[in-house]
Amino acid sequence: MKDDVRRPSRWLLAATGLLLGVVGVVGYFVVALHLGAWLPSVRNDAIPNWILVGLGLALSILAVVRARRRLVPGLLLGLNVAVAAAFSAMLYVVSVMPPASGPSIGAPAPAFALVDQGERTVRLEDFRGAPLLIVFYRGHW
Amino acid sequence: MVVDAPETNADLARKARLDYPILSDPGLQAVDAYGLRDAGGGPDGQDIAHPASVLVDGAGIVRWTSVTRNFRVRPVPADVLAAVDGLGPARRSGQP
Repeated sequence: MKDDVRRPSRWLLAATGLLLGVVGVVGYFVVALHLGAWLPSVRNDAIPNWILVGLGLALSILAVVRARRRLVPGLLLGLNVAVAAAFSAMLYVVSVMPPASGPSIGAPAPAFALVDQGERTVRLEDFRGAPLLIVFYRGHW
Repeated sequence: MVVDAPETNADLARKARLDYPILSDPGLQAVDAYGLRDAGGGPDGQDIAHPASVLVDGAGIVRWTSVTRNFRVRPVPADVLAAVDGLGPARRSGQP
């Protein structure tokens, strides 16, 4: 009798675990796409997101361990593991790039003459006498 | 610096309210000069720039670079500012 009353709360535990995992993953992409400029370390390392995903996994596992009937908590745990695995793949497999050398430290920066957003020609020499940060990026699509 | 056309960059500068120059390098001349071509890295397999930051001092010497191995990872502003501070006043102004 007591177990019948408590079983839904165990599903709740597993569901909460899955929810935490999903919030961690979705939260990462919200940060990466919309707030990356304000939260660069979250975008780079995803530590708060991994904490959420880890907590979620722990709750899901706890739910399975404590449940007498493990089908539903087990399915929820499986889903949660899949979410964490997909997150891991997105962060560490899909976004890995081929190596690039970049310019050598201590060497003169290669000259360039390119047009800016106002069609004005900009040259490396224009920045003599002041530090210059050149940021290369992939472009908009 | 990006392979996009100046019009695309003008849109971006307007939307994101950027006041620094965004240089268009569709032929990847500068990208190649800096060793940063990502062959076939674009959405349709076109060549684009590898995400990277290069700090050049006032005398035109490369002093610091950050070339990422993962396109979601970029240097945080504090790292860039520390690199600029590391140039020192003489190098910053380009004086010997």
